[in-house]
Amino acid sequence: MVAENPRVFTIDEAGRRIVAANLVVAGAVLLAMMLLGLTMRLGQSGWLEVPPARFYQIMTVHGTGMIGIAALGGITVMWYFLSQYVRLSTHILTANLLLFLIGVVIILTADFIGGFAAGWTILFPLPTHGAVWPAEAAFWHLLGLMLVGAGLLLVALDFGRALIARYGSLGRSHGWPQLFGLSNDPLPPPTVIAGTMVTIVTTLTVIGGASIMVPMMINALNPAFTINPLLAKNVIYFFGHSLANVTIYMAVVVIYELLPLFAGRPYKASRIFVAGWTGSTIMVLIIFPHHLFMDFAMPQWASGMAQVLSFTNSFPAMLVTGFGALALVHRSGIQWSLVSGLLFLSLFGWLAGIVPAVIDATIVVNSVMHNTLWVPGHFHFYMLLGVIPMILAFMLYLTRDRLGRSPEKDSDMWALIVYLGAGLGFVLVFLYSGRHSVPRRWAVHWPEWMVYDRFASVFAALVILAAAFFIVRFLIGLRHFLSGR
Amino acid sequence: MLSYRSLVAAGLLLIAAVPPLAWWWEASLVRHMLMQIPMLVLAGFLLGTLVAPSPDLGVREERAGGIAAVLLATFCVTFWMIPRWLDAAVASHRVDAIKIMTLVLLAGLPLAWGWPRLGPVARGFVWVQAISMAIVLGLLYLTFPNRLCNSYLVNEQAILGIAMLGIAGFLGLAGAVPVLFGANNGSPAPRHPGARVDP
Amino acid sequence: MQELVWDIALLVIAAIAAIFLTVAVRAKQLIDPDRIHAFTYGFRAKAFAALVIVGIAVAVITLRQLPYVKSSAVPVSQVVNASGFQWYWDLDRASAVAGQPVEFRVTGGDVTHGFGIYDDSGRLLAQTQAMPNYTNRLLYTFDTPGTYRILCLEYCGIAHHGMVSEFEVTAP
Repeated sequence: MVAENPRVFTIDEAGRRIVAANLVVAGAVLLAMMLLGLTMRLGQSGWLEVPPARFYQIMTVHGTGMIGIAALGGITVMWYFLSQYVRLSTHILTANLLLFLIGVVIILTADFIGGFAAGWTILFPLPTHGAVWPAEAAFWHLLGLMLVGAGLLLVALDFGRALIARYGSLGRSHGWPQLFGLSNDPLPPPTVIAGTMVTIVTTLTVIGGASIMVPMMINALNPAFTINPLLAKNVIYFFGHSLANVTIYMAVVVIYELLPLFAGRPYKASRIFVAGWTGSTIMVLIIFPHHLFMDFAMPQWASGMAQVLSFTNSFPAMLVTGFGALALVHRSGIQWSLVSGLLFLSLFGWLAGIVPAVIDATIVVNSVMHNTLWVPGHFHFYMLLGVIPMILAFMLYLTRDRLGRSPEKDSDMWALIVYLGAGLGFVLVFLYSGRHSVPRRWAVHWPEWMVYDRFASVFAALVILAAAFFIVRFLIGLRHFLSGR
Repeated sequence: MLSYRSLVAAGLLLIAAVPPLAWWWEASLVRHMLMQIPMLVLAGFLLGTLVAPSPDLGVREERAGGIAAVLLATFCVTFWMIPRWLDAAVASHRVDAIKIMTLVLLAGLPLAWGWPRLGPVARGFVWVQAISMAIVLGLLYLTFPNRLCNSYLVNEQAILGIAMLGIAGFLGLAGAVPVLFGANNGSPAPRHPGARVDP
Repeated sequence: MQELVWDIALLVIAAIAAIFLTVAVRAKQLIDPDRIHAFTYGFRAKAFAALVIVGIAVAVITLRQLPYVKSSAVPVSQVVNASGFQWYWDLDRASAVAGQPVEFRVTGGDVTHGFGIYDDSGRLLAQTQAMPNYTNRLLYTFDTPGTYRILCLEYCGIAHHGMVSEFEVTAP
């Protein structure tokens, strides 16, 4: 029942190069998107003049880009650790990066030059009813999204191929025979189980995404073709919710693999672990109606189910990963370093970020919180303090801080404290604004809201400084990693 | 020499392509799209398996050729899914003859040659795309309020839409069951973890 | 509601933070991993049970007061037809009487909008989506007379933030 984690991770030269390239792109895009985020908060605070049309273009790029790099960074983390157990293709990972870059160029052009600004979760028929942007801009933006999705699909299919080659089926690499008592073989390692979940969810997510992007693209070319807006919204949120969510399930393996090295204790897969991940596989895919509570036309069973499942979806994270990792660290004599600190922080960000999410997934609360700044508060919590620190920890682990042996500088700890403090401040301002009913996605804020925006701007600037510090550290150490020492 | 497969292929062609039976299939949108066209592609596929050289798997050129062949087949089938061309085939016997020939020779045949040459990732990619395209067509046919084809009525569109969603579900299950519950025993762990391989 | 929600969120986040801080601070007080194992996994079973009980209780309480209106369960004398357009609200009447339920029949004229009712202190009272092809029925009873505002709560294009209308509520 015990799967030991490897003590040393190996990777060949081609693998090192593409992993490094992915992380450089992810780091650069992350900083660019953070600066766009700061621009929006500055615009709302009244400190900077941002014309509304530009604001909403920035909002569209920021949302799309952040999901994009969370997926790119997350899948790179997953690829690196999964490649320790199964044979993965560097060609496929390279193809993914190329598709990502082409997609990013197309999206940036469509949004900043074409003027497309329908947001990240595009609600039909807004793409062709933008009034100020041409339908072609919508077409190109959607095409860019399709390319990014195609890249992710290729990597997911390669994961699937490799897992099946090694374990026989995705059911086996998910640990299902052991879960249902059909086999007494040792369980697959945690990363393999997580990788299986990511394979399944990413594939289905891309199917959903393509199924809604293509009709909207056809609509952009020929407005006579229309789709039902509520059906479209369901599919968009199936795609958008699942994709945003699966990024953390990609990145979280960095905790399973690295935390044991620092804590000096193994991270074990168990039947509870398998049950938790199986639950996540299913629930992540079917809780998306919690984005549609305010669509009273939705069937009530769907809304009720989404509320209940949104509660239970937190159990695996809280009780399996959260508990497991805390037990791993508790009184272990863990070596605190920049990397182990970021890992610990990311775990906190994930678990604490669940709290405002679950609360808002309660229908009666949603009535007065939906589409207020409470919502960005919850997902920034889990992205900024969960997913991103996981990816940053991975970057820094690769390039300078193997096993925490290198001496830590004071500046490292200060950067970590600033990131945590300012990041927490930033998301709490969002949540507090939500408490005061400040609506979401408003380019121009009323004077009484601006005080919150000003605090948020200061926190955002500090977060960006700390993130830039981490990314520069990563870039400095990159040669080190590429040389394969 | 008449093999079992060539007999089936000939039978399918006879049923699907020879008038007046061909016209009967084409009289209904659902029969046209979901019965005649698949029969023609299947006939071409069976013929292709008879005349195809066995693939030398693992050779890069073979794989590239496989992708090209499947792409050709995809374009050909997609072309005949467009309502305008479907209409044209009903209106003109000449276009109909072209439709029948191209679906057999440019869709079925290359599919038989290309598919065995595809690696697992490429097959998965094609499979997944087929599912989402079936959903797309299903959504469009189901919710489009006006007639897409001049030759067919709106209520047939809705039936076709539901059938397309059913096909998507079937393709999804047919793909998922072996992938999730396949009986193969797997292979030992790689000796050099992190090593790269061609997909 | 908003205050309660904020307090609960803050409290639970603080509790999680306290657990993490405790673990971080005590990390150097070494202990045998087996003892940790036995302790935490016993504790996990209890935590699971607690979460399930709390979850069921919350679900039972909250799912009994859904905002969804079943057709004319309550006789409503005040009906407001509201349509969202880029970028304004079209209301067939802009006033109502306090103390009696108002039924808002909300739809979207072009793209999807969000119909959010705000009081004069800027507090969100209730909302529903305004989507083309659908009419959502939102039932709300205003307690106090005054000037209320309708804000757009679903992003609908570049003048989304300008979609504000006033709604007068008079004393009965």
